[in-house]
Amino acid sequence: MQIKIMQNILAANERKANELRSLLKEKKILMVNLISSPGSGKTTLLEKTIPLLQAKNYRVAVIEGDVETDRDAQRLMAYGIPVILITTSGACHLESVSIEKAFESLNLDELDIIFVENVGNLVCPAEFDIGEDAKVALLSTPEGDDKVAKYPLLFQEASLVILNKVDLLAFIPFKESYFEEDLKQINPQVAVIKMAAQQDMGLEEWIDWLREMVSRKHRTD
Amino acid sequence: MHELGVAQSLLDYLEKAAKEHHLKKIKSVTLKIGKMRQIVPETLVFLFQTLAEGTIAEQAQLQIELLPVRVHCLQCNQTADLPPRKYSCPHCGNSSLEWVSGKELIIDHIEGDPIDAN
Repeated sequence: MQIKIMQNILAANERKANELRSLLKEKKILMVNLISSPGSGKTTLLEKTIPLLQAKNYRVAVIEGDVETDRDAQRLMAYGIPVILITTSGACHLESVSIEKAFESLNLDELDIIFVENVGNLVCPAEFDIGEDAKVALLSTPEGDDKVAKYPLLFQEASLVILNKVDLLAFIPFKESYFEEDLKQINPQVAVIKMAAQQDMGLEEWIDWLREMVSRKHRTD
Repeated sequence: MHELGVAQSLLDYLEKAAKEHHLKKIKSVTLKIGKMRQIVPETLVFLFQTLAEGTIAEQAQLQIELLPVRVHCLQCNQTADLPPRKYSCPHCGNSSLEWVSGKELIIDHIEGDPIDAN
């Protein structure tokens, strides 16, 4: 007996993600899914971002996906914000069901922005919808100028691409034109911010982007 | 290794579908997967077989049809398959493209033995 199915394999994950998305819409919370390779600067970016947002009275929380340790979570807890750690014990990405679980430990009535620091990896996190408003792809220059072409799904799905560690451009063979050319082909409309988070470069533009996203969330009723 | 998450989701779905359609055994599963998904078919099959041990899909053959990254160019109006890591129209070089295929991750159909009516 043959049965026609015609359904997305990840439909269960996507259904849950859409439930979370409506919940976030109702609560007017912006959720950003931050995706990058290990070591490209996700945690550092958040360490720089949180105080700047706090200074503007935004209430922030972080859901931290980590393969093994709580080191990143510890770094972020120093800022006095809720940090929910999900250790995936080897799994390469977060799924919507883990985010739903993390929500249980957050007071959603007292938040404006949730950052999800996904597991460091450019393939799997792009595949799994977690109910976010925007995927932000963070690429650091030492990783090479060919990453956009090699991981097209992520860069196509991203609403914003941050090129981090641009202060190192003078020392490494990263051709910005290659990066820009690939991105123009894969995702012509995507916003790009060049940044050196450690050096406080490009943070203002990033904060402006976040603020615009938050106010858009309040406008859609 | 996103194949693991995909294999687990597939198995979860099959167990549900078997109940729904009153199957005692799933014999084959046909998937359509776009090449943009960067799924390695051998890896998916291996993980699926490992996870399916002891389930209703234990002996299911996984058939995977890979779909090309196919676009329709909004400039020259032609349809073309893109070579790896190229995202502009092979005919005119434009990058205003509509995606025809390449991002699918679909269970097309399954085959199974129904539970005998008695």
